Amino acid sequence: MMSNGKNQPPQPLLEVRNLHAGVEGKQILKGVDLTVMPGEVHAIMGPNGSGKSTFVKVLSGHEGFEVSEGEVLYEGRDLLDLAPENRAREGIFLAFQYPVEIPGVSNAYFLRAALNAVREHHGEEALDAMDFLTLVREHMKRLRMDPGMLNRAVNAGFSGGEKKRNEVLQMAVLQPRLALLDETDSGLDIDALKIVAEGVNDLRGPDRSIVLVTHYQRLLDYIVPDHVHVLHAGRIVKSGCADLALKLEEQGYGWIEDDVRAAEAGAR
Amino acid sequence: MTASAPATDVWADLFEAARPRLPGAGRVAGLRRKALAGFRATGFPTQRQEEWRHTSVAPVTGTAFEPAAPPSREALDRAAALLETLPPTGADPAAGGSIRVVFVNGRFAPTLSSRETVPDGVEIASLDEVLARPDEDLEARIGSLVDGTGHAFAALNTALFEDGLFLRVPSGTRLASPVHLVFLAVGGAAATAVHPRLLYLLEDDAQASVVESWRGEAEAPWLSNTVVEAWIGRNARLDLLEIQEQTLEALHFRALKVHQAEDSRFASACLSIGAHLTRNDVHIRLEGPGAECRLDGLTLAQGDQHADHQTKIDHAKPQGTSHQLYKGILDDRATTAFSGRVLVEPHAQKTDAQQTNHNLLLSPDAVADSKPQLEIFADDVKCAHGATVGQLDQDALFYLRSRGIGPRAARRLLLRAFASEIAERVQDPELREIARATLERHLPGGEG
Repeated sequence: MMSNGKNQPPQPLLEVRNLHAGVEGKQILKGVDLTVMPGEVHAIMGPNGSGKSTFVKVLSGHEGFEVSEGEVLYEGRDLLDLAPENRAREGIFLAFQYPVEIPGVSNAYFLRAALNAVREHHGEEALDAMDFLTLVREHMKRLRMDPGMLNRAVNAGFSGGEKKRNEVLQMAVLQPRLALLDETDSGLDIDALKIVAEGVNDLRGPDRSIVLVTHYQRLLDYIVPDHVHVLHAGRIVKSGCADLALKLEEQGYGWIEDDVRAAEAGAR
Repeated sequence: MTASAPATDVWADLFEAARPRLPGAGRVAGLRRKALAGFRATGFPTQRQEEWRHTSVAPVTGTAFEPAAPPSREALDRAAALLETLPPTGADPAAGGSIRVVFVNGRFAPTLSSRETVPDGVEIASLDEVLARPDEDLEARIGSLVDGTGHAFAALNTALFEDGLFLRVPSGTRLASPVHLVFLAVGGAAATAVHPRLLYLLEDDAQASVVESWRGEAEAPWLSNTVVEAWIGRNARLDLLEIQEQTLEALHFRALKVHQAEDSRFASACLSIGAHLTRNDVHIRLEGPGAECRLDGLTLAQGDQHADHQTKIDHAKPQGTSHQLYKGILDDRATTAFSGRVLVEPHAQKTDAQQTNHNLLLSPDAVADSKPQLEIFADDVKCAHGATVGQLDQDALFYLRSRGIGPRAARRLLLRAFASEIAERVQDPELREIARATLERHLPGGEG
């Protein structure tokens, strides 16, 4: 990572400029702009279908979406050229809204393969099974996960809450620089939500950034964001501080839509 | 007059020429004559017949096969070298207690076999050996399950078999370690046919594990046409692992028929990896109540390989269980067929029959056909079947890649996960290790 001189402003970790993306010819993102500085937590909210999930999937390199315009810089370099595995190795992590079940591959094997792929990319030695187990058990304890889950197939037969916790476990083990959380709060009861939030807060630090996509304010009671953005019809139409999320919770998204319409009318 | 008539005559001539040296007299000789007559009457199957719809026997009918000669000194030396150089089957004679029976070009090779540790009372002998002396039990059994009626290849085997194996585990005896059967093809320039005949007899409360390993270096067409007859007595248990790693010149036919008595257990895992053409016919009859059978199979096919698995399970008595899981990974232009017939007879109440066939196609030109047939004549039964044909799960691939695992490694991980289920289902720990090691050798490698 580049170090900054004292008088230079710090380099953004992520810069998204005018991002347009869609699937099978249907435009979903229509010019997203977002700058995330190291250490910041950004919440992206918005009504269903506004493009929240698409946005984080595009950042993770999902091949189902086509980027038609705009650019994304990660640590100052072009992100969109990188294959998904290289984005992960460079420190981007997407916690899936719907984690995928992989029968026949144990959670332990999968996690160690992932961790060692990232380590080897950075010229670090692969962890052997013992060291890995010590590390992962520690994280599992913090997340109050049953160690037996390590020997189960990845997400296979896990409950919704177990799957989400498993995502946070992977994030804790891989220690990403940029964590993207796609509705990690959905389907969690309040106790599980607190544990997941703790796991995310553990990751916070001056070098790491978090972008969390959520539909509800609830998660933000436990993970207090530095910035809140409202995504609407494929664009970020409003940004603010944590209070914005509270206002959305109280008043819904209707007033945002009114604001957008008024702004568009004014522009005409 | 059918198109295969000339080929039928060729085999009849081969039979006449071989007759003086074929082992077995009296009843066995009669069995041979009858099987050949049946074969001549019906000829080779055509793809118009439902059971052969997916498999053309043209590679057999279009080739002039010679019967395998008894292996020369040279062939035996070559076989000995192959045993050293081929990946281990798990039948390492250095390992204590290992029983290994080697067949070279279809014939028992005593110098390559080790039977020292065979327990008293257990018989592990070549058919040629046992048919040379009077053995009424054996003579009555051979052909009693498979006499070739209605199956051209079983008929040819019945008429022409020259050697094979007789395994008898007496009542109450349990073999502590697996019996390894290694069938080596040491090829010459000529197209060669072998017809091994295997008999597994487990008396009441007996237990054994058997590994059949089919391998070799045949560079000319090699017809391996096997019949297996197995009797599993009351409360007896047989675990079988078949590893078919023949060369791509091989045409591998194997017909297995098993009769299971009350509370017996039969488990078979078949790893079908080599051969240009594979055809497996498995017929299990659960003759006693509470009998349980498990058939698992994995086909790895690429290039122009074709494999056809036909299973038939007769639930004749109540409380029987049959679980089948057949899987295939097909690349290039490979094709497979799976046809599983489960018959539940009227009084076979409380039957539990499951049948599953999953295929993974790695190429747009690969084809997998799947046909379940459930015929249920009892009302209190649990029967289920399911089949899938598809590609590698793209969502799973992306999930792995999004965690830093490269696309080749991710693909390999998913292929292994798909295939290893068959090895992991093997209950005998030694057989399971061998199955794992076999898959390890054949699943794609590569980093990245």
